[in-house]
Amino acid sequence: MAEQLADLLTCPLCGFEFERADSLCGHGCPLGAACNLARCPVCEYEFPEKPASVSWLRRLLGKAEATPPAPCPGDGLLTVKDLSPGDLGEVLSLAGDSPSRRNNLAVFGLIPGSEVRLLQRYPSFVLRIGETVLALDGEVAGDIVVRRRP
Amino acid sequence: MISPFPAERRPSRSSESFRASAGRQPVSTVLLIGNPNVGKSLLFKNLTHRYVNVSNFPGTTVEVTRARSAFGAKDAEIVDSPGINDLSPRSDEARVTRALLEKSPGATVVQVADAKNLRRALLLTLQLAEMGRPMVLVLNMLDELRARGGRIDRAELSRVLGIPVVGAVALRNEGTGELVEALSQARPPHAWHGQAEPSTADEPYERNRERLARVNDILAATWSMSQPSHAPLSVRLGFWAMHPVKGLFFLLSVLFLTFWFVGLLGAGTLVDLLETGLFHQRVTPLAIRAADAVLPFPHVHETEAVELAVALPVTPIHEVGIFTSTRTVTSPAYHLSGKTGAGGEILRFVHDLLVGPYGAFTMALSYAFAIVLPIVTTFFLLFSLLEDSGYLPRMSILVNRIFKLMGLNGKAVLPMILGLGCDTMATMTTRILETRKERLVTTMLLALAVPCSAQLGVLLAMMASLSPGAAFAWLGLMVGVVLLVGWLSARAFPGEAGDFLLEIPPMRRPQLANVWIKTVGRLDWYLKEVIPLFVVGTLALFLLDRLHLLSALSRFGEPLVTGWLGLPKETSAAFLIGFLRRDFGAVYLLDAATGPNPLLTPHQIFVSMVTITLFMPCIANFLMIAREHSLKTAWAMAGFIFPFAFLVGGIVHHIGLWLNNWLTF
Repeated sequence: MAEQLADLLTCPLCGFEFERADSLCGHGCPLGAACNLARCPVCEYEFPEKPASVSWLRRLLGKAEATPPAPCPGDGLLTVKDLSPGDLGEVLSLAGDSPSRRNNLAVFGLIPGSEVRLLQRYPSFVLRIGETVLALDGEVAGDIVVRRRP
Repeated sequence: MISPFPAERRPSRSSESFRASAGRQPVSTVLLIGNPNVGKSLLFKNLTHRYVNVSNFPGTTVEVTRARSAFGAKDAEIVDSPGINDLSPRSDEARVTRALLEKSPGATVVQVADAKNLRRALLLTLQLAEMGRPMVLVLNMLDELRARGGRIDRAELSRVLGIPVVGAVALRNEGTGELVEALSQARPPHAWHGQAEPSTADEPYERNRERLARVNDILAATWSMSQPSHAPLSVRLGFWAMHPVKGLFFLLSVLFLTFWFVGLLGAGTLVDLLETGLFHQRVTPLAIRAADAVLPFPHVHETEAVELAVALPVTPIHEVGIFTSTRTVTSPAYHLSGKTGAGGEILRFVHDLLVGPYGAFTMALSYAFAIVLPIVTTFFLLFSLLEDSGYLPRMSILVNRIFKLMGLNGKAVLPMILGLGCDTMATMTTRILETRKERLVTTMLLALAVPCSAQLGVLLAMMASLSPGAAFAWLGLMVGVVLLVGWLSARAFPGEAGDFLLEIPPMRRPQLANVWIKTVGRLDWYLKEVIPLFVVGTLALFLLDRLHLLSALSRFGEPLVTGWLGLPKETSAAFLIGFLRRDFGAVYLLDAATGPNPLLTPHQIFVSMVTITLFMPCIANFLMIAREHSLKTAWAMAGFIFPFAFLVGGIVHHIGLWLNNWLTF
């Protein structure tokens, strides 16, 4: 999905970012399918793509590649995370950069303009939209921007 | 119930009779489509009188089920589908549903809706409307809507949408007749199209926003709700079950109830009654006498006094005695009383095969029926009750944070709990999880450390010969293994966990008829699946023993079993058969652990229990992993699980030895 689209190679020598398909490869290279080298189309520097076993080890040792922090809604805006149990809120927008998460929320009726009531915060957030009771974790709750209603 | 093997089941009459009836009238197809947990399968059952698995949580139906039904002069094929919230092909269920719609262009679509959640249902109605199929909308659970003070203007809704709208309470089979009548009036809904710009990443979301705006207009005209002044008990109970403090109390009560019902009543009282009272005191002596009459060779059976004490359990150490009875009966052990010729040897071979100490009657059947069956029955009964009550999804709220450590989210608790019934069925239910990573990790943990009810039965019987402390140590060790392996694999497998976003169904009083049908269905599956394997396994072991191959194989495994695990070499056979079915391997260990002069010390019982629990459940589970993922994945998991089981078993053994030495000094 979206994560795979962003799977760009970065040349370690000149810093040029390119897709796997743009890798500059000589014809008749004997390595064939066994090749895991990429060649930068700008400076022609040849470097190994990250081998699977290394990234496996890195994940195991906890040195996962840093993921960019999700854009958070600006100051002064409330999210469901900031409501207290019993509060009623009106959904203003769905933040976050994952379209599939937005759609997953929308199919439960969570769209701008809809009314939600926060039922509890711990151990997980529980919301009520109409007659649907929905459990979600803080990460998702932080993406739902709301305005408190009396 | 969900059968683990065929991809698409057709619980229908033979195809010949179809062709005969198809010649009379063209067969129409009716597709049942709707949001998750709205009662499509119940309606399917009402329309076809065929039972499919029905529960009170989203995601019960993971495959397409078809059956034929006759409405008056017309035959129709009814198709039950997995629940969907959205037709955009992002999830497997939506893809399955889209494929269904495309495969049968002439089909009538019956959309099943939860009347309480009309907004979400109408979102799907508008999506379906864009396909221009003849439709009927069924508003199910009208009783729950009324109980909550809601009203729907059905005539107005029908006018706005342009399709027949039928009310129903599928649980009580109300409204089925009305639906059948409405089927002939099905027509395509009024066309409605939004203006969202196509082919952007946010397109499905933007289009759903537009549809929801339209839905709100429809709702304003047709739907009203007046909140009752105080919530009914079931609603309040539902909130307690999610509460951080009351919910924990609730969880502990459910766990204790399960332990009492399955562990004490099932594994204690019922097993005593069946194993000692029925098999040991009556069936086995009868089988021995019958075999002796048919297969005469000079031998004399020993006799033993068998005492049956039936008691009602209160706690693990307190029980109320009901009655005891002692009978002196023939035991399978015998000595020869004369010379047996060549013919006599053959008779003796058959005799031992049937009623010898490791015979089909004396061992395989008595274990399958007397030890495993009571536990499987009590477990399935209680589990069906829990499933229908709507409690299970509430559990996932409580454990979400713990599961996050394992790269999973609270949703994964559903397959894990199902695994306590049958790991193979549970492996199939992992489909409710969103990402491949979650499905892999859950499948792995199921195969590794979640004992299925058959094995749980044998393990509980083994624990009876240990102290309660050892039982808790075993439980703690299994939970520890799940957390450790889960934590490690969360890091080792690539990918992300999906969002924890789970719809919580209302708590309902379980329908006893449904609970009963479900329990019987699962037992039926169990008997067909497990008992033949038990008998075949016993025969195989018996033959290996007679051909002296068993001792050769045992010698081969000796360094591992005797050296590393510190168990007597006779138990190699148990581990060997454990590769087929781990519960059957456990039966052999149980045999070595109990009896007048047990082969195993308590320390050894514990080590062998831990090792066999961590084995892969059975061949069927292996095949299911291969089907759901790939054969390579299945081999990789087996390649990790079996060595890991021996590793943990050995570590437990050596720590035990060390503790023992340390305590004696």
